[in-house]
Amino acid sequence: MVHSLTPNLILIGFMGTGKSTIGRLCARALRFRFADTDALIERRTRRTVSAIFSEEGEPEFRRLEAQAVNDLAMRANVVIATGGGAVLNPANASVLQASGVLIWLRVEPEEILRRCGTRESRPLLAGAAEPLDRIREMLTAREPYYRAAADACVITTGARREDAAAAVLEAYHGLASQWPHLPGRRSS
Amino acid sequence: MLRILTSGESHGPQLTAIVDGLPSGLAVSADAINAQLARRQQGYGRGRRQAIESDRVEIVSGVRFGRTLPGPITLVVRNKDYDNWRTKMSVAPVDEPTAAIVCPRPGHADFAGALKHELEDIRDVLERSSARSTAILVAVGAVCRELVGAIGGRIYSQVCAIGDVTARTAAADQIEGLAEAVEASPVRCADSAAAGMMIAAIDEAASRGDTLGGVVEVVAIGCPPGLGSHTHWDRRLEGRLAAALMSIQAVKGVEVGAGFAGCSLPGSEVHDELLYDPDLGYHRARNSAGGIEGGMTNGEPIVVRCAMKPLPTLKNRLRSVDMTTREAVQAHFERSDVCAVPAAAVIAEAMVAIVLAEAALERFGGDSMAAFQRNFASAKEALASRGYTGVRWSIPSRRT
Repeated sequence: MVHSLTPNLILIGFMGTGKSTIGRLCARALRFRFADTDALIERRTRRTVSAIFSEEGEPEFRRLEAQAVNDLAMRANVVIATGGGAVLNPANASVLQASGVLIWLRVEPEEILRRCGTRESRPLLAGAAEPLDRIREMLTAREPYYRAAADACVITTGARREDAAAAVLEAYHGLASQWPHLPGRRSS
Repeated sequence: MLRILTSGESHGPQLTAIVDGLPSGLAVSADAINAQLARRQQGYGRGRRQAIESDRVEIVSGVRFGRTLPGPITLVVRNKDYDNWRTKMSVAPVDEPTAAIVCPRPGHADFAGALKHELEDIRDVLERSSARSTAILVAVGAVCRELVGAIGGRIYSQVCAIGDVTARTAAADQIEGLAEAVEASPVRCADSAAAGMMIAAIDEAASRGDTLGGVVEVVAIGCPPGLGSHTHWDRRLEGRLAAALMSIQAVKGVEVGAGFAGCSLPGSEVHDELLYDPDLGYHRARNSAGGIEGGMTNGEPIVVRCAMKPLPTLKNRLRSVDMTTREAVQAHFERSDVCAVPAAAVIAEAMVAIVLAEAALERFGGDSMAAFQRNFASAKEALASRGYTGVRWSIPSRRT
């Protein structure tokens, strides 16, 4: 893989942690393009993520997601917001690590529920009787993957989006100069 | 001579310290001590006890009108939790039997202590081995810090690593500028990106019923050269700092300056070349020595790091043996923290303060603060006459 001089900024984390919102703000500040794996999948298939999930199942969605991750990772000067499950696949995680700095956005489960509990566009929460328990359960399962893949973690609970974006940019600038040889990286 | 004795059980009525040998006239305030006690109780990953306790010091002897008297100082920190332990920790015998702890927790003093003191109830060991006793040492450290301040010393700390997360820590001479960020961080780490990862690592360990250790760094800036001595093993400052820091519960290693990492480099890349400039005075090209050469301070920032093992009380209990039946069991669980590394940094500051105060008294002496300050001023003059301008006393940040 060919490295551009400036690493891309890649946001990972659970649904509702602000990856798209904060990613757009960061892209503007860095004069990067903004890209979102879920949006790319929807544009390519001309279907919504929930429709793909319900009609073709999760494995097909994950296949499309891996493709989207691969394609976006090849671009230069881009902020990539990934789907909440993207880095659960170690192949996606290492492709993204080779593309840039991975910053994990982290939010308390209660706030995740407030931000996206009622939206039907979140297929993994749809139909859960106790959505907060469901979120907690999913976080316990997923956080080790986020932590293993991430180069930095920014906690955005209660933060204004501008402040969260500033914190992400600070982390990005701190790590960009050392990339791709970042401390604590086990792969790449 | 500075003499310090502490007493108290973790769930007894109080912790007590007697500090003898400080010059009279040293400023002591309960507020300054309480501020340090509060810093020790902060930090992400602590258990419920920190909410119960909210430690406050009572100064019951040796201080009058905010200044030390010639006699010993007595400091008391009460255990607010004692109300819940009046029966279990009763001084007088009680009729009501208290269940004995018979399953030692691996990693604690439990097993060796029970054998050594021929005890049936391990509580008789753990009440004193507990890191609760560091509260009173932090109080003593707060008093000593005032004396260290009188020779220009300022003591800071930061967390370098928690679990497998390592921060990008700034050079020692920049720590003063980062102090505010360190104090504001729940893990005492100014690298906010790493701090977020540390918090996540603590949460993950907590969800598994596990614990995490880490590395803390203490930096003392502004201390004059010549504290400690090269002349004998028990007077060398590195040894005294290491002993004080290793005495903190769960600390398993101490390094000074470049420490272990310096051992894989050739000498040309380790030793700190001595330079002289009419404006800067004597100065160094770097500070691998961590401010100590030949067991004495050399005027550069003192840099020590402590390796703290993960706390040995796990919710997810370790295997142990019932010492009455010798059957395999799970270790006793005593309320504990997931990670106490940020608190260890504050405790390490206190231990460094105690050692530096002791070394300052040896070098400058004096029965009163007035005498101490006269002696210090005259030592500064002597240093200046030999071209040591004491630049570190006034300029904490230095060349790149």
